[in-house]
Amino acid sequence: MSDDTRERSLHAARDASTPPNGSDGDPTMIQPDQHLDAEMLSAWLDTPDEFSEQDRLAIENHLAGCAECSQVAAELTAIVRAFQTLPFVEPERSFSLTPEAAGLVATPTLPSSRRLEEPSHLHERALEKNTRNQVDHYEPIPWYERQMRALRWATTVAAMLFVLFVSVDVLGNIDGGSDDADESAAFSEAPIPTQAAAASGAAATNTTASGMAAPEEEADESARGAEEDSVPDASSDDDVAGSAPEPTSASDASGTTGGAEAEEESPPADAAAEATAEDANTMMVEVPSEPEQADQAQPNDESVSAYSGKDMTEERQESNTLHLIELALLIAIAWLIVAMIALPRLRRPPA
Amino acid sequence: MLFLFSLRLRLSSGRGEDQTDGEPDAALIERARDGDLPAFNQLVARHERAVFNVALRYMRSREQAEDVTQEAFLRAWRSLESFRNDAGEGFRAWLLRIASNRALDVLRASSRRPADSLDSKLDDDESAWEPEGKDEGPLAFAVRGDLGTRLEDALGQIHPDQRLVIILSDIHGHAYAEIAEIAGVPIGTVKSRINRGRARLRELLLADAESRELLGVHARLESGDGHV
Repeated sequence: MSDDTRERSLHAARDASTPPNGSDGDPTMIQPDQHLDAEMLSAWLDTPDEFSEQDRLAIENHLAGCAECSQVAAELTAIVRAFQTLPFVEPERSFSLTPEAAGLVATPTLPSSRRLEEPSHLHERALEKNTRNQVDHYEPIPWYERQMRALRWATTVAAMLFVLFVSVDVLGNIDGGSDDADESAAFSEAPIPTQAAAASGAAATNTTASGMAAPEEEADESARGAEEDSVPDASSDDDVAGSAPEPTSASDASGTTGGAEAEEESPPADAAAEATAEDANTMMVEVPSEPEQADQAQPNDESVSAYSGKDMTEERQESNTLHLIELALLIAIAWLIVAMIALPRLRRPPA
Repeated sequence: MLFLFSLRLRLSSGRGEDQTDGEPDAALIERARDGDLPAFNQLVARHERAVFNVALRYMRSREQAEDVTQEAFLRAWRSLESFRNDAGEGFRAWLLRIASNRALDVLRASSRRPADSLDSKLDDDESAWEPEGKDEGPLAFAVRGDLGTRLEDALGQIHPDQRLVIILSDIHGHAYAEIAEIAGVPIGTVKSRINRGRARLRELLLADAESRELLGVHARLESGDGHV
């Protein structure tokens, strides 16, 4: 018998025998000469006790003589057995509730975009996605969010301090900018060029430039110093001679010739030093022609000479301290930023 | 062959029971009602496997099943006061009812076919397929595994009402009364749905040549007729 024929027979049996089971009431009388319905067989296989004795006997008798209905019963049995041995799938995560999810933590409103990024909470995303209309406003603050706020505050404070210190540093440099030229000249390994003023000044400057290979600006500053401080200073002169590795004819009467001699006597001097020497020479040319400038600049000599080594060292230390603080703040800011980036990735709430 | 039909197909107790050692459900529920979250999480650990598996077979999507399971526990926590049974009985049924209601809502809202098929999951998890018994040979083992996969697929094609009761009855072994409580329908309706669902599953298997052959082989193996 083909499948179609068998199905028709089963339908015929179902028509003849009213609802095969499906209710707690007595099943109808089984007609021995009709095929059994699959649903009835399913019910009989499940709970034969719920059938009347008469029906049970009728079914058993029919199955004993009907291979087709026996086959249906066997197939239904196989289906149920296969279901019963289906493997259970282990969940890949726990569904335990966190205090935040359970609403046991303060729940101020967060922006919706942030809410979607909350850790651990697939269920929260599910609630957003599937039950937007049914779920109450449930917006807990995850643990890392609270720490994130502290990190933001710390970063802000560190950044403000950094700006403050940099401002102080920059302003300090601007305020002392007029002195910086003298300071730089004074602090540099090149000695104060004022000591090389007047007759021997140019030569001394040239010596410094060529001997120390000082930068052009430094040499210029030295030259300006030489212009301003036209009063010779013996002690400074000694300094100059002492600091210049190759003391030249610092005692030359003419600055110009002295400069020229210095150039000649220091052939190894590099190009920068030569340029510096030229600048210095140019300025030195003007020095004798404007002696009044030297006179006007004379009072400065006192302030310059007032720079004691101690004060300079203190200022330098202050500057170094500022730089150290700025560096520390920069490192702190960088660390805080890294922490803020890393924190959301640590989504496991603490046990 | 008559001895075959004397077998009761229904399992005597629920299958896939989670660990129930330790404090009984009633005590944990009582503590959880007082806001004891760890106590509630013990209940979660005890029942999550069953809830997740019902949801997984019902939704046929792991992602959706996880969402439904998580939401079921969240809702249970929030509405624990409405669980009336002081003896703690039927807590799993109550959870499953919450989960199945939610799953049905999701299924109704989602007309798309699940992207993450349960079949693929089970294909990947073949280690979970263990021989049913020491007597089961490799052929029976292979046939049962293949038939199970096809049954899972067919299960996704029957009506969701029938699917739910079949999952609860044949896969998880719940009693009619429990299924009636979970599904929220009379016991008679449960029986009717189970029987119609099985008949429909058989039709679906017979409609495919390979599935029909597998079903026939498995039926003969089940009946003890080894002539395959």
